[in-house]
Amino acid sequence: MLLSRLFVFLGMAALLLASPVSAQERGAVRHDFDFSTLGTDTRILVFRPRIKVGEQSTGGMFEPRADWTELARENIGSALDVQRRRYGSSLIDAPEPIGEDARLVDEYLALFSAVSNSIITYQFFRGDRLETKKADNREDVFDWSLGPGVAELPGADQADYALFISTEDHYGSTGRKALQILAAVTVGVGVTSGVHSGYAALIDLKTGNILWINADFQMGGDVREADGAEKRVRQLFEDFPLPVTDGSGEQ
Amino acid sequence: MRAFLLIASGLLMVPTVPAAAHKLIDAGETVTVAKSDLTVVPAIDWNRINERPGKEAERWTLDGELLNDVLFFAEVEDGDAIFREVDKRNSPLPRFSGNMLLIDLPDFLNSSMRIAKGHQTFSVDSVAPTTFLGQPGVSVSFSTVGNDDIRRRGRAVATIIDGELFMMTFEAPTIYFFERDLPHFEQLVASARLS
Repeated sequence: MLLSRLFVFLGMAALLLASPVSAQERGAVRHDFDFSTLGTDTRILVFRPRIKVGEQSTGGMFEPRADWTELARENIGSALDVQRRRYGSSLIDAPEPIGEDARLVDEYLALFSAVSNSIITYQFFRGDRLETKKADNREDVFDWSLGPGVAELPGADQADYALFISTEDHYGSTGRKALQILAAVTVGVGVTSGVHSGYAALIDLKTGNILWINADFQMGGDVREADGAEKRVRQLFEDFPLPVTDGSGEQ
Repeated sequence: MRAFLLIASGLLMVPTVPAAAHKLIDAGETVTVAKSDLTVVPAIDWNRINERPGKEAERWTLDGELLNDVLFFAEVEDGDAIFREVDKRNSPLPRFSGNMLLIDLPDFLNSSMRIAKGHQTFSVDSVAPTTFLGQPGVSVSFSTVGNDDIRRRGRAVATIIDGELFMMTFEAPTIYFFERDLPHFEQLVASARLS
């Protein structure tokens, strides 16, 4: 009797978890940003993406995998080359930072990840929006920034904007996947296996304001494989506001 | 099977969808915090995070706790931890003692924050006497590195009244957010009263 009640409780809880309140947005443009100012003479500094890849243990803990991270770095690098060709000379590589500059770039990319996380959780995610962000949404305001210190980033004096990219993938271990299947079959509980977050944003290099962002906790594409990484990067560049210059006419 | 059900119910306890919305804290209104007699009057709008970080605690933020995290702890009694336990068996939280002196509070804050927030590092940069809630208190400046690799700075003000701890803390990334939002925290501290 007790067990059957527990099953009913678990089933109801599973239904709650799968309710439509989880619907969310994936992209935004700053309210006072004018797309039309972007043209072929716009210079966008592309920083080396922050990439983390690892395994998700049965208990859900992240365990980094250096080999997967290296693979993803190569694959995403190649996929970015495709985008560079589409957008032409506007996308320029940030200088390879050394010493203090390297630390600064790492810190900004980590901060960018935290800001993106907050944007998804507290402005995009309907079920968890902060009240002050709801007010912003009502007034069509999207106001997030990394601060004017971005002007100190290496190469910032040579460009108008920066493109920050961050991805983090936790691939479910065998134990995690087994738990996911067992939970689904026996008690109808949705246990997630894996995290696949990806964030890309255009940052104003004078103010640090986020002008455009595409961010999601569940992106597609296995970054450990070339095709998957290409899919991921394509997804990251969806609705990127710079006009395509490769003659394909695609946007 | 029993073990599996325990794991499954444990997973369900992790809320992916909050039970209730976060609350708007209106500028200019006197607000009671942390289910206590402590009140503050914010000068700007804040958000109160629905989930309480501890029994006698409350969390406010402007953009999310990763970017600006204000915590209130009030009427913390002898034997209480200020946060909810994270891993009681392996890393139990320290307990406040009514016999503690103000000078003991930086270490208490250090070990509490390190465990509850999972900081890689926590260092106390300076400790200074202050007045908080009209009583002699202590002001602590600290620095942390989180498990998200972000360096943050923080400020705490605390006092002990009749053997009970009252403390407000603020923590934000060193880049941009700390300097931007510290005055808002200081304004909250200056407005704090016991009703």
